[in-house]
Amino acid sequence: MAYYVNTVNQALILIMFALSLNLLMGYAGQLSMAHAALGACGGYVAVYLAYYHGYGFLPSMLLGTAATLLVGIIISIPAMRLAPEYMVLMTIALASAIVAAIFAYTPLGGSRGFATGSPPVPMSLFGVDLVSPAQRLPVFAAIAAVIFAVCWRLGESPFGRVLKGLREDAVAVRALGKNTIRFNVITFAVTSAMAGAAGATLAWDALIVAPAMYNFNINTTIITAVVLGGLGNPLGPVVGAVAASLFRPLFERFVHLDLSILHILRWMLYGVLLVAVFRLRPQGLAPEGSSIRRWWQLGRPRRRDLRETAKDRCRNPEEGGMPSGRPARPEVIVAQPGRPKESTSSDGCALKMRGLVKSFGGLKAVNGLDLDLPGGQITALIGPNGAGKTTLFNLVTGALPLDKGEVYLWGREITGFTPDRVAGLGMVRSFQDVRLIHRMTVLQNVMLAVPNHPGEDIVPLFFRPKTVRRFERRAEEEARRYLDFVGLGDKASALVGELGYGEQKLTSLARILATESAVLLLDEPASGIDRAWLERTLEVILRLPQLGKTVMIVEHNLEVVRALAAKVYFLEQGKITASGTMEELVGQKRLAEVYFGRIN
Amino acid sequence: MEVFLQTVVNGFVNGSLLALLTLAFGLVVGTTGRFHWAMAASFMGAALVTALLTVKAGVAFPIAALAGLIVAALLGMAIETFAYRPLLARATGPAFMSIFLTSLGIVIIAENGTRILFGSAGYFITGGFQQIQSLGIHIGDISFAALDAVFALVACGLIAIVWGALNFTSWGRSIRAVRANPTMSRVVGIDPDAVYMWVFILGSLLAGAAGIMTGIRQSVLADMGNSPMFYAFVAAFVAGSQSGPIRFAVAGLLVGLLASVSTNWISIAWAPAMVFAVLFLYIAIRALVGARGGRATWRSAVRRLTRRVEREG
Repeated sequence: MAYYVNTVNQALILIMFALSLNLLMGYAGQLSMAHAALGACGGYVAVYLAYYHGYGFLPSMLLGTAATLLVGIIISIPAMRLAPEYMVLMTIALASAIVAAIFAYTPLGGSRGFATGSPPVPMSLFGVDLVSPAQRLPVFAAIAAVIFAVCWRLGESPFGRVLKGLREDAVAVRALGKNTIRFNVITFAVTSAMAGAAGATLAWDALIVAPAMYNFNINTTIITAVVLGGLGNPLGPVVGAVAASLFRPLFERFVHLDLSILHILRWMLYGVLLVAVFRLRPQGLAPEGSSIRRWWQLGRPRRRDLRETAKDRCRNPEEGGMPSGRPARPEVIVAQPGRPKESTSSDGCALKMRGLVKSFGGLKAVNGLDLDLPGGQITALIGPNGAGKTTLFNLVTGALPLDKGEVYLWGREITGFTPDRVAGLGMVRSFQDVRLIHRMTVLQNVMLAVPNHPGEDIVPLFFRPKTVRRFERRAEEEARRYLDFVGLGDKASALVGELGYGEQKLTSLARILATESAVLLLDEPASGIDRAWLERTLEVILRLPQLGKTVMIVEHNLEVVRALAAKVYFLEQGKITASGTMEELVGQKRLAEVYFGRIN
Repeated sequence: MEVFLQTVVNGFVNGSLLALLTLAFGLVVGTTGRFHWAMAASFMGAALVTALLTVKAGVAFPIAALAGLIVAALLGMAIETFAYRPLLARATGPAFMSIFLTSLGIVIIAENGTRILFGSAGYFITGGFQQIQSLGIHIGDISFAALDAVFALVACGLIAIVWGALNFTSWGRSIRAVRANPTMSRVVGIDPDAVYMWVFILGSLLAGAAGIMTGIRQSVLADMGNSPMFYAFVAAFVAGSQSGPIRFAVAGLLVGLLASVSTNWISIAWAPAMVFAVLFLYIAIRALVGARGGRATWRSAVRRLTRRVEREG
């Protein structure tokens, strides 16, 4: 009996590890190879405190957790600024460094490890000794429940929505004003802390710590549990960890082989599972988006979904989903009180660029460019291919570093600001290739852009749930309003991947509108869409100045430019060489030659 | 001073084998973009086949080594064909995580499968090396095994051959073209998939050669590839994954030297920690000066740092 209770306890500890790793791998899309090693960090700190300073279970576990949190922060701050590959590299190195430190620092007992005391001090909580596995089980279940709650709250909330966005397209999410590094560092740190708690619990369960409890094989077990269960689902790791925990008792009780061979077989099985799951069922046993409620309702019509569709239909009765319908008149969209975005300057100039220079190797993509963007108007930037138009957008929004020059937004210098800071000050850009988050619905894509969401901050997320819920409702209303504005109100619950390209372009427009930025840089808003959608797109863009927006478009279709822009800048070889109305520019023979090529 | 020089000489031998492995890993990652951690299987597989053939079947070493290299190459090709390509064909988003974890799974299977089939005890590659091994060369107070010198030379020779092949043959040019831009290469008539396969073969052969030499110097164990792969991984990234062969090799050599020096001077346990410390500093510096926007190369990082100093100074 005790054997099985012990197995349950081990499974609970594996669940703790797997839950926290899933937050990192499944939601944030970051891979950590140091999860077990971070557990070692928590376990060793806890037992060290118990052995040398007589700490009990709870305080030593909490301090172990705190220490691991610190390690997580220190590691992730530099690593999260680079590509995800570096995170893998960093965590592999961290894992070996932690093992090295354990072996090198003799008070930690080397490969044999050391116990909670001599003789081992049992785990006790509030003065009660928890000697048998059955006594420890409820404590472990409670810790696992807390970790589940934290992971669920972080993952299935506005915070998790940003993480999932980052997982799919960090550049696009950053351009919407999310401080990607902050999200990644918080996630990694919280994940580390939970691994530390799990490691400390494991140590107190065994009453000893040793490197073998947290080695490479254990790390693989945790990863296998997460992958097997299903990435990005709060229930996945629970399912996966339970499944992975079954192997040990199955092997030990029912397969009669030499014990050492059995363990090798078990590790090998985890390797086989890892390869097989990615190959055969990458979504795991519990795919992202599935929940107990869904399973419960399997086969029945989902009433809630039906209701939502009906609601969507009522909202836009005349729009059957085809572009024939005109976009509904915009409802009054006013900036939310309490977070005004500056949108005035003394000279009425929204964006000023002075002497911008950017070269790639020997190529001067932008070469001493000056440009003034008048506020509250639509301005266009045209020029031949390779003139540096998209580069210019990248430079002013901070996606690329400038070699030289200054950028001012409403008179304030923003040179060298990161894309999220620029977006926070009220200037966002759209992407030529839309860059929506394909695995999210249209509505979620737009909600992702709503700024200053308290649910994206961990303190309100856990301590002011009502505020978060209220704001989430408001964010949804706002997102729906912007979708109505671009005429996609009826597509709110469709997945982005199901939309046509024209609809995707409009969704991306709704998404940058939802950032409430006053300056919008639109990169080829009309390219690649057919006639019917073009009309609607033009109508929507033309209405933007009425909302107080300053718009700059980059566009190849000169008809579109003529229809939209009051003022047009001509960019060639990284410089503005002409400006004026479309008619004035078209009249200049030289420009036509540059643009269309010389006709002999 | 003698001790230091001796350490450096030992480190140079370790480092030259690591340089080979770094080059192999760097080529695969830089060209194909696959995080081929399972190269450890080729590394170990070549050594294992060589050991089994020489010990159990009494085959002469050159033939056994050739068989080992062929097995290494076949392993690489099989992994690319049956594991990575199907994953990439189906992937909609970034496939980095699934490729890396599949690779990790393959390493685990190879390691534990070897233990089950051939036992956990190590093998020695026989073939007269034990006699040569005792042969020492002494220059002043520094001494090293003649065999080690041979290995270092072999490693350098292989690196030179790869460098030459990449730079002066049309085959090498097609690899460099695909590395720079697979789509454009396809347009000019180079099939990237075929090039990827060649890179996997080349990388696996180099890793296999490093594995056989490591097997002779130490012994053949199921997990013998893990620690060298870790160092090669770090070295390839410090070099920059799009580097040329010489740069990879130098990075591998330096990481090997660092590991050897810290092993001798502090303790063997500290070697990974030292490498981690260097890597952490490297990543921190890069993140500080070069992370923003596009490619963060060393050169651009240094340029930006100097400019920042100028502006503030």
